[in-house]
Amino acid sequence: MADTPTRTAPAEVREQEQPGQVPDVELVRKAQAGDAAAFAELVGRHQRQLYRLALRMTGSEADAQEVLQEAFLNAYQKLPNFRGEAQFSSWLYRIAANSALMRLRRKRRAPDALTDQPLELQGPRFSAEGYLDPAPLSDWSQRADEKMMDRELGTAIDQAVAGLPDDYRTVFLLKDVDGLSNEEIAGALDLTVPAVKSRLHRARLALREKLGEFFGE
Amino acid sequence: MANPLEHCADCVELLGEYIDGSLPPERAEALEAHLSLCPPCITFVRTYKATRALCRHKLAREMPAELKSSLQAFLAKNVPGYRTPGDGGGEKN
Repeated sequence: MADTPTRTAPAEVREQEQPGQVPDVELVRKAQAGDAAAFAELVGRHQRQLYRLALRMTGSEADAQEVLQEAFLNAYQKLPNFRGEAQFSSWLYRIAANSALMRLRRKRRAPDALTDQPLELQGPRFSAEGYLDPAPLSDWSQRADEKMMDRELGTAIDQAVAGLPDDYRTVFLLKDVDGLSNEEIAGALDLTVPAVKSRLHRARLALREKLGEFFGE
Repeated sequence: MANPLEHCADCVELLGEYIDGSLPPERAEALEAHLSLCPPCITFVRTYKATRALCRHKLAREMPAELKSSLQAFLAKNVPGYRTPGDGGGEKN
Protein backbone atom coordinates (compact mmCIF):
# COMPACT_ATOMS: atom_id res chain seq x y z
CA MET A 1 0.00 0.00 0.00
CA ALA A 2 1.55 3.26 -1.12
CA ASP A 3 -0.29 5.75 1.01
CA THR A 4 -3.25 5.72 3.29
CA PRO A 5 -6.30 7.94 3.09
CA THR A 6 -7.28 10.19 5.93
CA ARG A 7 -10.54 8.65 6.98
CA THR A 8 -11.27 10.88 9.93
CA ALA A 9 -13.12 14.07 9.09
CA PRO A 10 -11.35 17.30 10.04
CA ALA A 11 -13.72 17.69 12.90
CA GLU A 12 -11.51 18.36 15.87
CA VAL A 13 -12.93 21.84 16.04
CA ARG A 14 -16.53 20.75 16.35
CA GLU A 15 -18.42 21.29 19.57
CA GLN A 16 -21.97 20.47 18.68
CA GLU A 17 -24.17 17.85 20.23
CA GLN A 18 -21.96 15.48 22.20
CA PRO A 19 -22.74 11.96 23.46
CA GLY A 20 -24.56 12.13 26.77
CA GLN A 21 -25.84 15.65 26.15
CA VAL A 22 -29.48 16.55 25.86
CA PRO A 23 -30.21 16.22 22.11
CA ASP A 24 -30.77 19.38 20.09
CA VAL A 25 -34.30 18.26 19.29
CA GLU A 26 -35.15 18.19 23.01
CA LEU A 27 -33.66 21.65 23.58
CA VAL A 28 -35.60 22.95 20.58
CA ARG A 29 -38.83 21.56 22.02
CA LYS A 30 -38.12 23.29 25.35
CA ALA A 31 -37.16 26.54 23.64
CA GLN A 32 -40.36 26.42 21.60
CA ALA A 33 -42.24 26.15 24.90
CA GLY A 34 -40.56 29.37 26.09
CA ASP A 35 -37.50 28.01 27.90
CA ALA A 36 -34.89 30.71 27.19
CA ALA A 37 -32.18 28.70 28.95
CA ALA A 38 -32.67 25.91 26.42
CA PHE A 39 -32.28 28.45 23.61
CA ALA A 40 -29.10 29.75 25.27
CA GLU A 41 -27.78 26.18 25.32
CA LEU A 42 -28.46 25.87 21.58
CA VAL A 43 -26.63 29.15 20.99
CA GLY A 44 -23.66 27.87 22.97
CA ARG A 45 -23.52 24.66 20.99
CA HIS A 46 -23.71 26.21 17.56
CA GLN A 47 -22.16 29.67 17.83
CA ARG A 48 -18.63 28.64 16.83
CA GLN A 49 -19.61 26.83 13.66
CA LEU A 50 -22.07 29.59 12.77
CA TYR A 51 -19.30 32.13 13.29
CA ARG A 52 -17.04 30.21 10.90
CA LEU A 53 -19.79 30.01 8.29
CA ALA A 54 -20.46 33.76 8.58
CA LEU A 55 -16.77 34.60 8.51
CA ARG A 56 -16.08 32.43 5.45
CA MET A 57 -19.03 33.82 3.52
CA THR A 58 -18.49 37.50 4.31
CA GLY A 59 -14.70 37.53 4.70
CA SER A 60 -15.01 40.06 7.51
CA GLU A 61 -15.00 39.76 11.31
CA ALA A 62 -17.31 42.76 11.65
CA ASP A 63 -19.81 41.33 9.16
CA ALA A 64 -19.59 37.92 10.80
CA GLN A 65 -20.56 39.47 14.12
CA GLU A 66 -23.62 41.16 12.58
CA VAL A 67 -24.61 37.99 10.75
CA LEU A 68 -24.32 35.94 13.91
CA GLN A 69 -26.54 38.28 15.90
CA GLU A 70 -29.10 38.51 13.12
CA ALA A 71 -29.10 34.74 12.54
CA PHE A 72 -29.67 33.79 16.17
CA LEU A 73 -32.36 36.42 16.61
CA ASN A 74 -34.07 35.23 13.41
CA ALA A 75 -33.81 31.65 14.61
CA TYR A 76 -35.41 32.58 17.92
CA GLN A 77 -38.25 34.39 16.17
CA LYS A 78 -38.80 31.57 13.67
CA LEU A 79 -38.46 28.80 16.23
CA PRO A 80 -42.25 28.21 16.46
CA ASN A 81 -42.20 27.35 12.73
CA PHE A 82 -39.36 24.82 13.03
CA ARG A 83 -40.97 21.41 12.53
CA GLY A 84 -37.88 19.25 12.91
CA GLU A 85 -37.98 18.00 9.33
CA ALA A 86 -34.32 18.95 8.98
CA GLN A 87 -31.60 18.91 11.62
CA PHE A 88 -31.65 22.03 13.77
CA SER A 89 -28.04 22.78 12.79
CA SER A 90 -28.89 22.64 9.06
CA TRP A 91 -31.87 24.93 9.60
CA LEU A 92 -29.68 27.35 11.56
CA TYR A 93 -26.89 27.31 8.94
CA ARG A 94 -29.42 28.14 6.24
CA ILE A 95 -30.69 31.14 8.23
CA ALA A 96 -27.14 32.39 8.76
CA ALA A 97 -26.18 31.83 5.12
CA ASN A 98 -29.21 33.84 3.95
CA SER A 99 -28.30 36.62 6.34
CA ALA A 100 -24.72 36.64 5.03
CA LEU A 101 -25.90 36.72 1.41
CA MET A 102 -28.28 39.62 2.09
CA ARG A 103 -25.47 41.52 3.77
CA LEU A 104 -23.15 40.93 0.81
CA ARG A 105 -25.82 42.11 -1.61
CA ARG A 106 -26.45 45.25 0.41
CA LYS A 107 -22.76 45.98 0.18
CA ARG A 108 -22.79 45.11 -3.53
CA ARG A 109 -20.28 42.41 -2.88
CA ALA A 110 -22.47 39.58 -4.06
CA PRO A 111 -20.39 36.45 -4.49
CA ASP A 112 -19.64 35.04 -7.90
CA ALA A 113 -22.74 33.38 -9.27
CA LEU A 114 -23.04 29.78 -8.26
CA THR A 115 -22.93 27.67 -11.34
CA ASP A 116 -22.95 24.00 -12.16
CA GLN A 117 -20.43 24.60 -14.90
CA PRO A 118 -16.95 23.68 -13.67
CA LEU A 119 -14.63 26.65 -13.79
CA GLU A 120 -11.27 26.46 -15.47
CA LEU A 121 -9.16 26.36 -12.34
CA GLN A 122 -5.52 25.51 -12.59
CA GLY A 123 -4.86 21.85 -11.90
CA PRO A 124 -2.53 19.04 -12.88
CA ARG A 125 -1.85 18.41 -16.56
CA PHE A 126 -1.99 15.05 -18.26
CA SER A 127 -0.55 13.55 -21.41
CA ALA A 128 -2.87 12.42 -24.18
CA GLU A 129 -2.61 8.94 -22.65
CA GLY A 130 -3.84 10.20 -19.27
CA TYR A 131 -0.56 10.20 -17.34
CA LEU A 132 0.63 13.08 -15.17
CA ASP A 133 2.67 15.32 -17.46
CA PRO A 134 4.87 16.74 -16.17
CA ALA A 135 5.10 14.19 -13.38
CA PRO A 136 5.63 15.80 -9.96
CA LEU A 137 9.34 15.37 -9.33
CA SER A 138 9.49 16.87 -5.88
CA ASP A 139 7.65 15.46 -2.86
CA TRP A 140 7.43 18.70 -0.92
CA SER A 141 5.00 17.27 1.65
CA GLN A 142 7.92 16.55 4.03
CA ARG A 143 9.25 20.09 3.74
CA ALA A 144 5.72 21.37 4.28
CA ASP A 145 5.82 20.15 7.89
CA GLU A 146 9.08 22.01 8.49
CA LYS A 147 7.73 25.20 6.95
CA MET A 148 4.43 25.30 8.84
CA MET A 149 5.40 28.53 10.59
CA ASP A 150 7.09 30.12 7.57
CA ARG A 151 5.75 33.62 6.95
CA GLU A 152 6.32 33.49 3.19
CA LEU A 153 4.42 30.24 3.00
CA GLY A 154 1.60 31.86 4.96
CA THR A 155 1.47 34.66 2.41
CA ALA A 156 1.48 32.15 -0.45
CA ILE A 157 -1.45 30.30 1.15
CA ASP A 158 -3.40 33.53 1.66
CA GLN A 159 -2.87 34.54 -1.96
CA ALA A 160 -3.72 31.11 -3.34
CA VAL A 161 -6.95 30.88 -1.34
CA ALA A 162 -7.90 34.48 -2.19
CA GLY A 163 -7.48 33.61 -5.88
CA LEU A 164 -10.21 30.97 -5.80
CA PRO A 165 -13.71 31.86 -7.03
CA ASP A 166 -15.96 32.81 -4.09
CA ASP A 167 -18.03 29.66 -3.86
CA TYR A 168 -15.03 27.35 -4.31
CA ARG A 169 -13.16 29.21 -1.59
CA THR A 170 -16.13 29.11 0.78
CA VAL A 171 -16.66 25.37 0.27
CA PHE A 172 -12.94 24.65 0.74
CA LEU A 173 -12.67 26.71 3.93
CA LEU A 174 -15.84 25.31 5.47
CA LYS A 175 -14.86 21.72 4.75
CA ASP A 176 -11.09 21.48 5.03
CA VAL A 177 -10.40 24.22 7.55
CA ASP A 178 -13.58 24.39 9.64
CA GLY A 179 -14.69 20.77 9.49
CA LEU A 180 -18.32 21.11 8.37
CA SER A 181 -19.74 18.06 6.62
CA ASN A 182 -20.55 18.02 2.92
CA GLU A 183 -24.23 17.83 3.84
CA GLU A 184 -24.03 20.84 6.16
CA ILE A 185 -22.26 22.88 3.50
CA ALA A 186 -24.72 21.83 0.80
CA GLY A 187 -27.65 22.84 3.01
CA ALA A 188 -26.16 26.20 3.95
CA LEU A 189 -25.04 27.18 0.44
CA ASP A 190 -28.02 25.65 -1.39
CA LEU A 191 -25.81 23.29 -3.39
CA THR A 192 -26.08 19.57 -4.02
CA VAL A 193 -23.63 17.31 -2.20
CA PRO A 194 -21.98 16.29 -5.53
CA ALA A 195 -21.54 20.00 -6.33
CA VAL A 196 -19.88 20.52 -2.93
CA LYS A 197 -17.54 17.57 -3.53
CA SER A 198 -16.66 18.82 -7.00
CA ARG A 199 -15.88 22.37 -5.83
CA LEU A 200 -13.86 21.05 -2.93
CA HIS A 201 -11.73 18.81 -5.14
CA ARG A 202 -11.17 21.51 -7.79
CA ALA A 203 -10.21 24.00 -5.08
CA ARG A 204 -7.74 21.54 -3.53
CA LEU A 205 -6.18 20.81 -6.93
CA ALA A 206 -5.79 24.51 -7.70
CA LEU A 207 -4.27 25.20 -4.28
CA ARG A 208 -1.90 22.23 -4.63
CA GLU A 209 -0.63 23.72 -7.89
CA LYS A 210 -0.02 27.09 -6.27
CA LEU A 211 1.76 25.61 -3.26
CA GLY A 212 3.76 23.37 -5.60
CA GLU A 213 4.99 26.53 -7.31
CA PHE A 214 5.97 27.93 -3.92
CA PHE A 215 7.98 24.82 -3.11
CA GLY A 216 9.57 24.83 -6.56
CA GLU A 217 7.79 21.74 -7.86
CA MET B 1 -6.64 -7.24 -5.58
CA ALA B 2 -8.68 -4.98 -7.81
CA ASN B 3 -7.49 -4.11 -11.30
CA PRO B 4 -5.55 -0.87 -11.03
CA LEU B 5 -6.93 2.30 -12.53
CA GLU B 6 -5.20 2.66 -15.86
CA HIS B 7 -4.57 6.38 -15.95
CA CYS B 8 -3.26 8.99 -13.53
CA ALA B 9 -6.13 11.24 -14.63
CA ASP B 10 -8.64 8.72 -13.25
CA CYS B 11 -6.64 8.49 -10.03
CA VAL B 12 -6.57 12.27 -9.58
CA GLU B 13 -10.28 12.55 -10.33
CA LEU B 14 -11.15 10.16 -7.50
CA LEU B 15 -8.64 11.57 -5.05
CA GLY B 16 -11.04 13.91 -3.24
CA GLU B 17 -13.44 11.18 -2.24
CA TYR B 18 -10.53 8.81 -1.53
CA ILE B 19 -8.89 11.22 0.90
CA ASP B 20 -12.24 11.91 2.56
CA GLY B 21 -12.88 8.18 2.94
CA SER B 22 -16.10 8.28 0.93
CA LEU B 23 -14.92 6.37 -2.14
CA PRO B 24 -16.63 2.96 -2.55
CA PRO B 25 -14.22 0.18 -1.42
CA GLU B 26 -13.80 -1.38 -4.85
CA ARG B 27 -12.88 1.99 -6.38
CA ALA B 28 -10.51 2.71 -3.50
CA GLU B 29 -8.80 -0.63 -4.09
CA ALA B 30 -8.41 0.11 -7.80
CA LEU B 31 -6.93 3.51 -6.94
CA GLU B 32 -4.54 1.99 -4.39
CA ALA B 33 -3.49 -0.60 -6.96
CA HIS B 34 -2.62 2.25 -9.33
CA LEU B 35 -0.67 4.01 -6.56
CA SER B 36 1.36 0.87 -5.91
CA LEU B 37 2.57 1.06 -9.52
CA CYS B 38 2.86 4.82 -9.99
CA PRO B 39 5.40 6.85 -7.93
CA PRO B 40 4.32 10.19 -9.49
CA CYS B 41 0.79 9.62 -8.22
CA ILE B 42 2.10 8.76 -4.75
CA THR B 43 3.88 12.11 -4.72
CA PHE B 44 0.71 13.76 -5.99
CA VAL B 45 -1.40 12.23 -3.19
CA ARG B 46 1.08 13.29 -0.52
CA THR B 47 1.24 16.87 -1.73
CA TYR B 48 -2.56 16.99 -2.14
CA LYS B 49 -2.91 15.97 1.51
CA ALA B 50 -0.15 18.37 2.58
CA THR B 51 -2.02 21.21 0.86
CA ARG B 52 -5.05 20.57 3.03
CA ALA B 53 -2.97 20.31 6.21
CA LEU B 54 -1.05 23.52 5.51
CA CYS B 55 -4.21 25.50 4.76
CA ARG B 56 -5.94 24.19 7.86
CA HIS B 57 -2.97 25.14 10.01
CA LYS B 58 -2.71 28.62 8.52
CA LEU B 59 -6.38 29.52 8.19
CA ALA B 60 -8.14 27.96 11.20
CA ARG B 61 -10.04 30.57 13.19
CA GLU B 62 -11.49 30.46 16.66
CA MET B 63 -14.44 32.61 17.58
CA PRO B 64 -12.97 35.61 19.47
CA ALA B 65 -13.95 35.86 23.14
CA GLU B 66 -15.15 39.44 22.68
CA LEU B 67 -17.47 38.33 19.92
CA LYS B 68 -18.96 35.68 22.21
CA SER B 69 -19.51 38.34 24.84
CA SER B 70 -21.14 40.76 22.43
CA LEU B 71 -23.41 38.02 21.09
CA GLN B 72 -24.50 37.12 24.61
CA ALA B 73 -25.17 40.77 25.41
CA PHE B 74 -27.15 41.20 22.19
CA LEU B 75 -29.31 38.14 22.86
CA ALA B 76 -29.84 39.08 26.51
CA LYS B 77 -31.18 42.40 25.27
CA ASN B 78 -33.37 41.02 22.50
CA VAL B 79 -34.59 37.59 23.65
CA PRO B 80 -36.99 37.70 26.62
CA GLY B 81 -35.66 35.75 29.59
CA TYR B 82 -32.34 34.94 27.87
CA ARG B 83 -29.69 34.10 30.43
CA THR B 84 -26.01 34.55 29.77
CA PRO B 85 -23.57 31.76 30.77
CA GLY B 86 -22.67 33.64 33.95
CA ASP B 87 -26.15 33.17 35.32
CA GLY B 88 -26.86 29.62 34.29
CA GLY B 89 -27.26 29.27 30.53
CA GLY B 90 -25.18 29.26 27.37
CA GLU B 91 -21.88 27.72 26.35
CA LYS B 92 -20.67 24.53 27.92
CA ASN B 93 -17.05 24.62 26.81
